[in-house]
Amino acid sequence: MYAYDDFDHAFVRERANEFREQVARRLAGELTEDEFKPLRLMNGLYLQLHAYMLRVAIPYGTLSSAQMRRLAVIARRWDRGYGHFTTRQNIQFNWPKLVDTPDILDSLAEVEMHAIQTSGNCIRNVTADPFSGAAADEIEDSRVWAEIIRQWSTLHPEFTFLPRKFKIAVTGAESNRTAVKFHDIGLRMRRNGADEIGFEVIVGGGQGRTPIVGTTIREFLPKQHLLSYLEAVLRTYNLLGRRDNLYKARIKILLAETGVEAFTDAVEAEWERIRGGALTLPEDEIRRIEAHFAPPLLVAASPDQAFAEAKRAQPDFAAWCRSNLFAHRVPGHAIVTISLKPSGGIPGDATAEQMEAVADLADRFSHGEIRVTHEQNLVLADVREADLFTLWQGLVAAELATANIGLISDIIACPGLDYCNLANARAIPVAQRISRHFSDPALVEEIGPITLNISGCINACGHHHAGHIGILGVDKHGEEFYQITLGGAADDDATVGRILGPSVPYDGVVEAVENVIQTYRNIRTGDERFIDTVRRAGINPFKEALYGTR
Amino acid sequence: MALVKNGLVVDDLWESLDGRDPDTIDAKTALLVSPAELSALGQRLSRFGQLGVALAPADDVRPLAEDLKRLALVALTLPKFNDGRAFSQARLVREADGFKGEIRATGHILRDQLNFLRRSGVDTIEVPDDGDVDSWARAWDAEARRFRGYYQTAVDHHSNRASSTPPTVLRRWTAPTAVSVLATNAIVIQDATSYAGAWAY
Repeated sequence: MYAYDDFDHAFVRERANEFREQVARRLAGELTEDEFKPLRLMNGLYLQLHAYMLRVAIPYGTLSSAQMRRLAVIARRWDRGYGHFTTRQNIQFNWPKLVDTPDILDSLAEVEMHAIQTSGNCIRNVTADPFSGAAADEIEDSRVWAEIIRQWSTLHPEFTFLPRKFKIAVTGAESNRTAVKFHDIGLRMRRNGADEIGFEVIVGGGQGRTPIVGTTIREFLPKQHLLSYLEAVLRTYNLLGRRDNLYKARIKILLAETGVEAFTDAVEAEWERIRGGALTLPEDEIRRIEAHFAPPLLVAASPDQAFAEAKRAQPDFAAWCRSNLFAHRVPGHAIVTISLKPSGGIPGDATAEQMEAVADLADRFSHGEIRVTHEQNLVLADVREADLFTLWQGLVAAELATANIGLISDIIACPGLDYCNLANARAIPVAQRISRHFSDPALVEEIGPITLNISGCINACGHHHAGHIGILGVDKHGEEFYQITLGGAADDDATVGRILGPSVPYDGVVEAVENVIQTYRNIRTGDERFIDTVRRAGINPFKEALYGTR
Repeated sequence: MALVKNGLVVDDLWESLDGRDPDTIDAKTALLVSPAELSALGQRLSRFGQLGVALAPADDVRPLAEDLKRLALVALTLPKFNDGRAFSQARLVREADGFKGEIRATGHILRDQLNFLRRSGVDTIEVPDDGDVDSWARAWDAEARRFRGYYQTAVDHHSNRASSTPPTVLRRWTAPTAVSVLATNAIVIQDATSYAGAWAY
């Protein structure tokens, strides 16, 4: 993974010092809250319902075991012993005190971490494929490009006061594991006719109150031009994006109001002006970054006999292998996803002890590296098949062995009204109830692959638009109600879910989800996945089953 | 109003046209006009030795390309500190062929933004009404020295183009202690002492 050198260390320390001064000025009353707000936000510090929340950047979701241990230390010392992994592959601490935050940033800087641009109207933490470097279906390691973008966008002088936040995702594989079409810019590695590698540039995707699937504005961008093209898109957006209405300020609205053609023309004209200039990436610069992501030395192995034996002897282990493993490019290895979605748990939460357990297991079995997924789980990317059983036993001991990746209890949820001052309704207890309801592993496996995403308000941090089943909390005269959508998807066939019907009360959500699942089981053909049934049959059968034929 | 130009306190010698008849104004006046006045008055402004244009945040810089060659000042405005259009306008002006004048930022500016403004091409700021001019001048310097290097190329590195340093893309030290082959020198920090001192404003 990327390792800091003197330059990075100095930069992050200087930034932490700057924030220490800003906090001091705020505490001394030199800065008003209004003036302090954009400064603290650019360092990941939010003011929530009950306390400040610090969002720490995990660039493209990649962590070393040492960094994970430091997160555990921070959770214990300055928070309440746990942290929350987010859909942007970051981690949030929910209870820090303002006066402590400079110390937390210093502590993070010691392990090459920071909270820069995890919030604010700037270019946010760039996300990438959590299986990068390990997946069998990869064209190129997306982390190399995410790191290049991270560096270029860090305290970019021109793009720090944009109309609104700006999210970029990169995927280097055939399958899209980064929801690339739901980002302000989605970059997808492609091979062109001449077998060169470049990017498809997808712009204007997003969720929130106006969910839109992104539009491809350039089919193929040679990779050395990545930064000049990004700069052309950002400059166009910064100059023309709306600033009169918070809810119409994202680039997706600019694209819709300007029209794809006019917008693309504006970007291309600006790119024409600057292409081939100072931002062109020289080959040796790309190599310098690439070298940091050299894959670990893995020796191909034939199928492991003891592994097969353990699966036969331990049905729980076998079930975990069926749901939590993904094909590795090197035979005899697996990509392991560690579920942070135990039955009745809070999606994405991990205790300090669990963080330390994962760090230890990463050291023993996966070259000391951990990834965070946008589904709020963790990944050990390079595990030998022969080690899987011992690893699983370690996960069982840490209560991290839930076998539900990609299944109905692998729920994405935002913090909702339990923490967030934007929320209209709770999301966490809804997730907990649903995961408790679907806690029988055999049943969950029988239901099959499905995504269920919950947001506590229209801002859609829980990605409800992109869930096969989406649940959106709304406030009706002071009471929590939940709107249900079906058919959303974040993958290659990115789709915005369709609303099923009138919203249901808090106490009716589990029953409604159960009803939808029953309908699916009744009408599916063969081993048809839930999303395929919805796509084939439409939402009417589900609607009738839930609301009757009235 | 007082100005801080490249970190030094200077008087504002510019006058706005403000709808007056330019023919009645002394040609030695440093005259600031709007883009509309600039295009409407055309040749009648040519007798002024120092001519500047004040842009609104929504004004497009690119149609001014020809005018920029003879302008000595472009004034930009931040109606509120978080309206960042001036940063891109500054960049476009600074990169326009033949423009060698002053780029001035006015309006609601936070001192935490000075370095971003400077790196986008702004060299002068109009000190806010309630601001202490000397402290803003010190802040300009302090902010410019806060970081020893930056990750990305920006306007403040253009002056290096002609130098013998190799072109760089992702990052650059601004201090002479640079070890990277990608290093350039934009701001020379003499020694660690003055660098550390720069924090204490």
